[in-house]
Amino acid sequence: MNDAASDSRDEGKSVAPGTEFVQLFTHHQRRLFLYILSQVSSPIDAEEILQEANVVIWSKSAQFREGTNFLAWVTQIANFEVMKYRARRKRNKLYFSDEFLETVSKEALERSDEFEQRRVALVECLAKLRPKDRDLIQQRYAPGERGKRLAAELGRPANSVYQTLGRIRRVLMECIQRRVAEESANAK
Amino acid sequence: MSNPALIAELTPLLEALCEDRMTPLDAARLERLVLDSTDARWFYLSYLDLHGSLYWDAAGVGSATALSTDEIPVHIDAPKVDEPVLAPASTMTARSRRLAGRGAALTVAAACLCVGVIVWFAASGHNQDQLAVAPARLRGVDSLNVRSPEGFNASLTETRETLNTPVVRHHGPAVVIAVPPVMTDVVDDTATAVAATVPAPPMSPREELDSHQVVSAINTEVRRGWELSEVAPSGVADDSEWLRRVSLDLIGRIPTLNEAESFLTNHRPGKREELVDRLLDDGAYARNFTTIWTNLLVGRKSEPRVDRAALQKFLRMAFAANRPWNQIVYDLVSAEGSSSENGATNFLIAHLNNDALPATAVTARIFLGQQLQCNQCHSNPFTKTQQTAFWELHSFFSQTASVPRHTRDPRTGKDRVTHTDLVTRDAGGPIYFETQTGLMRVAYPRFNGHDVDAGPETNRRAALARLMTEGDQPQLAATFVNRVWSHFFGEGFTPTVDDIGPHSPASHPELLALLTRQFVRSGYDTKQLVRWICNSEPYQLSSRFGDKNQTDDPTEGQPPQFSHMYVKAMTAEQMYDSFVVATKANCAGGVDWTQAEAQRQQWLSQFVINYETDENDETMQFGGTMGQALSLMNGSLVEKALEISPGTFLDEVVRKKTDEKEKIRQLCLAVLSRQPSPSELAAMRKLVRDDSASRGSKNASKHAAGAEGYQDLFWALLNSNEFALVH
Repeated sequence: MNDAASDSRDEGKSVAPGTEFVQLFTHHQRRLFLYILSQVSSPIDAEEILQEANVVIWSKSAQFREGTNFLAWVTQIANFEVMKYRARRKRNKLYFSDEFLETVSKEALERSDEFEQRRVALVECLAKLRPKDRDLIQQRYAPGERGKRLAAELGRPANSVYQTLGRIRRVLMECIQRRVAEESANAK
Repeated sequence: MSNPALIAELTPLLEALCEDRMTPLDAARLERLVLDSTDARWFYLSYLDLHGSLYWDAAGVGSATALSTDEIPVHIDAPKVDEPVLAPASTMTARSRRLAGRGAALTVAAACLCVGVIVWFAASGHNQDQLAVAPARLRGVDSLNVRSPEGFNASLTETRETLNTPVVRHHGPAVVIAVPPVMTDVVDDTATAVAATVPAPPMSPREELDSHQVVSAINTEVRRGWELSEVAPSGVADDSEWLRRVSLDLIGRIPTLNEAESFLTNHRPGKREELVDRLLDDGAYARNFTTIWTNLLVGRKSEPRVDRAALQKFLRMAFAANRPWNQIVYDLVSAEGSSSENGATNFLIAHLNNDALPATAVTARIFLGQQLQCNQCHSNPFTKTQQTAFWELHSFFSQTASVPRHTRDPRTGKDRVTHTDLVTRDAGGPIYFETQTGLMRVAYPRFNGHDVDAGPETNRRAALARLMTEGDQPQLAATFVNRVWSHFFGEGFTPTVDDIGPHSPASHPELLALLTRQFVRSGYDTKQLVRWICNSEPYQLSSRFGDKNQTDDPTEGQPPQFSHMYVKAMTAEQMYDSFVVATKANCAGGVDWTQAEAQRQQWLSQFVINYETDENDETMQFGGTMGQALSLMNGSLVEKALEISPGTFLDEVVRKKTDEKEKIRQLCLAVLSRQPSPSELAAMRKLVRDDSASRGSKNASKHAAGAEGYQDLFWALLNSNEFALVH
């Protein structure tokens, strides 16, 4: 790393965040998305909230102290954006209470390491799905898909599609569970 | 989590939650359960984690083809690199990609990030001059220098003691002749042993460069070449040309209509760098590099024992997770076990025929850029490598064997091969070979000046894998760098991409050395190497000759100067996948993925002839012309492509309520990734109308073309050279 170049960059008036910040930022995008999702349950809404949170995170990058917990810092910002989102949606249905969100959020942060394992397992489990099931899952989670149109596109009764999706997710949950258990057994 | 009753109650609630069909009553129940128990809380989080991960990863396939459905974009454990990494890449761009795919505007955050990217990329593209990199320092980088390796004669002295129990490994004479004191077939003392042809200048820490410095260094070196050879570069490729090129190079297919439109209407600076990052994150990148490396490692038509799918899975996971190249090679060379469970075993399983001679030749060539196959029979006067070099390397494979495993089919009662095990036997001692003069000689496992214990307890392949891949391995790195460079530019630095050494002068030795060193420094980071190349100035250039670079033509035997992009013929795979993307032929009639992949494999297999030589080389009978491709293409697929039936692209375009010009524009954009010029547009309109009229189309009139006209135009576009070439 050329010192001169990096210095001039840091001092630049655009206040472009440092390399480490960018790395942390990108590294945690996925985790942050999943964190938000655990609060709002709709991936599309979670994605929007993530974008809004990103703007704030980026503009406040100077306030982040390197060496402190990045995830904790960004989830605070995300919490705030989730609150704003819930305020906007007040008139529409809201599934859960604030107490619920707090409890869930605390748990999510405490056990955030465990998700990494599950993510690796998921990749393997997806590969094991029957091609037909994998196709359906992919269609369900295709960009912009909210799940409601899918049944119509497939020409199947909505209920049967939901049931199939539920079954595939159950299979995946069980598979991940097994994998993770195997992994930790092997580690011992 | 072990309470089945709880899970049974939670699961339907969570299923309803994820599909947005939960009643308030359900919600209340779920909330109660989650608040009441840790187990339920964790199950809730895990379930939503799955829901979100599927959305984030599996859905990000992005490419419009069903062919990609087996690609699960994996982002496992991206290696931690100590160097400042360029990548604000991975997840952010995965997101941008999805947003773009949806046609949504990119958000402010992405724009902010873009500012960051611009700072990083200040060196690339068009303003290299402003970058504060000291060019003097870059010039000071050592060129590839060649040292005389020491100690390669050692094997001669060992010979005498070890001839007591010779086993003739290879068409040897029955008579064993004692080794005379003077070896007649030794070329001279400067002969080079395996893997010593590109010894590394020692790397000093101060030469560690960050990404934009590497890009800038590439630009500096290439420009220096332009000055020396007195050529001036062509202009920068326009966005259409560049988008098509980078898509074919990175993800192995042309861009979809949507991808082309969103890129061409995007006017933000830095969009090329962004696209490179986005494509690198696409599952299709891993798939494309998997295709390329599967073909290199086991050939297009590998022997039946090879479990191609398992090898592909190994590679796909490796490229998707961006595993360091030296680790991938280590796995391939040292692999043991079942061909179906450990995909990496299939590389060697493919090359154990003919006493494993191909294993030696292919390992040396593919990973180390050494053409040792001739050394099997004689020392090579051109490369100054000794015959011994081949056999010493070969000796590492002498314990290796592949064992087919059977199970009895319960129905037929017959044995059936289920998979093959790659095993290491407890064998020790040297191997024997014959010189041109009929002398028997021995070779012990020895690599790059390192002797490995020849006892039966040593696992020689594991030892070789370590010697090849641990730490700084300039030969391994240079070979990979050269191949990747040549993948993108159509020309490597050396005349033959996997033949590197003093006998084969590189067009840009300093640049090859510099990239090699930086690649090692990056931790053999493949994606980083690709970024350096794709963001470099020469990669931005047009494929058209300029006024002052007519001489830069490697097909005329000139060393490449990279002053314009060299035109490449599409590979069969690129052709097929691009054809499918342009036509959506695979969507007609709802072909499922398995069928689609089977069709693809069947189509590809038509082109290959395997010679079954000691090097297991094969010929791809594919000249890259569309006519050839179409004539060979599975009849029903082409038929479907041009059908006006629901699902195909042609059908979509014809049915859309858009005017004639727009329809033509879309066809052109889908096939060629560019807008037609005004004169082309006029010519195409005429063609479409005349054609419809002459074919008696029902709906055709003087003013509106019928479907048949578009069909013919589409066919013509798919037949054009512009479609069949990567430019």
